[in-house]
Amino acid sequence: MKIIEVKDVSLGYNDKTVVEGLSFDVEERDFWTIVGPNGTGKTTLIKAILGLIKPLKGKILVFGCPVQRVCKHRKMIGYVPQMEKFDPNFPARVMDVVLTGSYSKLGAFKMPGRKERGRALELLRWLGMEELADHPIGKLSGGQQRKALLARALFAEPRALILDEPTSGVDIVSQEKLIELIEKVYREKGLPVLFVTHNVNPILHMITHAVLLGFGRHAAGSREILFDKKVLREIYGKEIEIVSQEGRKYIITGDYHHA
Amino acid sequence: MPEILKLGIIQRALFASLLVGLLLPLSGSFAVVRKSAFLGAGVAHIAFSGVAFGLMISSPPILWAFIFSVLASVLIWHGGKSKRMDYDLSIGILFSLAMALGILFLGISKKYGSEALGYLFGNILTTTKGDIYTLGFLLLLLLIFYFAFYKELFFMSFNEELAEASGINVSLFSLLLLLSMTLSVVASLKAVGALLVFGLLVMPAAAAYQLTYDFKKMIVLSLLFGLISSMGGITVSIIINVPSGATIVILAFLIFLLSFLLSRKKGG
Repeated sequence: MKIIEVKDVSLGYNDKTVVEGLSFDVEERDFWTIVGPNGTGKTTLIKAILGLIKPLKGKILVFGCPVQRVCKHRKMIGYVPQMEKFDPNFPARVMDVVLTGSYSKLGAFKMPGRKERGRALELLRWLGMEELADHPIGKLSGGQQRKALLARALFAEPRALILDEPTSGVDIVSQEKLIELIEKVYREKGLPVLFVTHNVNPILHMITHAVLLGFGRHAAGSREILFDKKVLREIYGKEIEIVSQEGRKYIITGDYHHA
Repeated sequence: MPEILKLGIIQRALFASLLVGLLLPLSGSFAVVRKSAFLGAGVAHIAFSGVAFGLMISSPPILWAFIFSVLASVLIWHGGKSKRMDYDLSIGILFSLAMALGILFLGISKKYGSEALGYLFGNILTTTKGDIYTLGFLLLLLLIFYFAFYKELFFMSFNEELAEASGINVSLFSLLLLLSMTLSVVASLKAVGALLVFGLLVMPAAAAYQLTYDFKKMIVLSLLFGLISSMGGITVSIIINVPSGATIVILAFLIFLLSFLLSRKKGG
């Protein structure tokens, strides 16, 4: 079943086109990565899939519904945005943030109750951070904040997950833990995932498909394109090294974002 | 009951201060967490230019204050939405223009100087029954609005992009928040004055922000601080016979100072 259909889509801002004529389909249990240098439209593509910006050309369908039309598709996609750390003093606790995942199912005047709190705690427990439920969100580390956002994204039982650079700005140890959790979500919940990153190496074993975005160029298809040196050279505008070690391949793009 | 409290003028002033003390901090709580508190100062001064215009053409000043500030709010919102101007810049420009226009209108009309000053510095003792009904109605309306859409307002205050991706019409709710604050400011103008209304909008909420990580508690604390500031301020002003707007804001500042000193929140 096609979950997301990107059909001949062009994207950009203020008449400047950053992506032109991109097409790909996300199906159940797919793990897509979206990679490419800064400024090539990775986040723009995510925002277009979420219906936050309008494509200059082409069509994006989520569960068969055009994203620009008001339909329930937004509630079916769990989203973890790319972000800097939260304001450390913002008056919200981890529980409050996770509960925002329940808002789309509650009507006006209705507030999350015992049932929603129970589910939020269950999710936090599943992600190994139950004891942080009452902590101010702004006081958590970058990795813990992403985990809280992951719990929020999973609250409404989404049928697809979009993660925009979830590991950027997170220290190496927390990155590994976060990736383990994302793998747990992917394997156990069986959700198709779209994962935007600068560094595919930690998630290579999960990737089934890839979208590579370069300046005025793109490629989309099965994971094999990630190891195609010709494609990588066109996307990054330079030679990209692929290193094999202990039976595993690593792609050295050199534009990683670390903490 | 002390004799002075039996006076209609004092009773109305106390009622008005009670309503203003709840109304402004309620809107102010959202302005503080959304870091758009300066908007309140801008709207208050823009409203004053409306007052001056109303006085110049001998039309109800509050009506014009309302028209001017709503128009300015829509312009500020539109500027922010189209991403051509950020809020601070739009407010700064309209703020200065509004003050210039206010002074110009007063200069042209060459009359009503004292009435204009009343709106600038506030005079709660001139509150009429009509003002109280207006404040009460508005407070009820805003309480319903904030209660009905608490989830949406909290979510977008936390993160606009996430809220929008979840299907919340962030643009519409930003406008509604802006208009609710504008209405609160305009309705409180006569009681607290254009120069001081900002203090009661922001300080109780800023004091509450220092003390809790729970947004609902922050709203309740901010209402409590607003009430203490306004009721305490008016009482002090009656006792020592000084302008009420000043005593209300000084009391709000003292509460903020105390909260700041007691706060366990630290930067970064």
